[in-house]
Amino acid sequence: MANSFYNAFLNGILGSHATRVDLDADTIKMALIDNGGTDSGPDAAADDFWDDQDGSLVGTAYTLAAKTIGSVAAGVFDNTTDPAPAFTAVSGATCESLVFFKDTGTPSTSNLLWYFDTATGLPLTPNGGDVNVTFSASGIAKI
Amino acid sequence: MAGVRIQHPTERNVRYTVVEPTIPYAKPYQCTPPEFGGCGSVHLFKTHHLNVDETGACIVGDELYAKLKLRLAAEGFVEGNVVRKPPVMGIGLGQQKAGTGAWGNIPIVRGKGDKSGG
Repeated sequence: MANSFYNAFLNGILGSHATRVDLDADTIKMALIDNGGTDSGPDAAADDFWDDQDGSLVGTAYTLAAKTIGSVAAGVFDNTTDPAPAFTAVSGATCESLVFFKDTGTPSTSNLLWYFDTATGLPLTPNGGDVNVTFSASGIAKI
Repeated sequence: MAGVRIQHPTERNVRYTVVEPTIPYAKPYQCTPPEFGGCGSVHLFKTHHLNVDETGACIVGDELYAKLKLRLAAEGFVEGNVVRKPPVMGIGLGQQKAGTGAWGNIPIVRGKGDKSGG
């Protein structure tokens, strides 16, 4: 397994997808995912919208509030603050993945963007406490 | 939410795997290396990784504990006290290199239902 973009998101950049994603204007969220949940883990090739993944959500998704594009480097999406906590009082199932998506308010139109399944702290077995997320100094995602 | 402190009678400073054999992964799950937080094996069934400290204790979220209570008891864990404010956990998305990190040499103890080897 490896961290990956969703194919549908990449294709959307090239214009083949029905809805576009504006990373700094749209509501971008990240979510803890239980790969053993109803919607299983991320599938880069098969999943395209949040309704393919929301059945595996653990806790509440976090909204990125300090997004930037191109400030770290050209083509790099980042969030200038590391959320602490990103997830509050997490007590559900063990989480194997961290999924980023555009939230339109409707799961079937909320684009899946990319996911991490290889990161320090994953898999995460919740202890009932808060979970902080530290982003890379190189940014969160690079196109 | 709160946590529940559980205590193992003999294991110390290990990562202990507990498997739920009734929950298969849709695709085999390649667990992250020990230095990331996993055990490096491929899991076919839902697997929880418990970081057991130097006293044999570990804190599990109350919701997860309620679900795993019988399995944990079968592995020898004993229920302790409720932890009202468990320590903060973290996920780091910085670049990592396999084989490095503070947890790189943590022993992995596989629970009774864990057939993933490693």
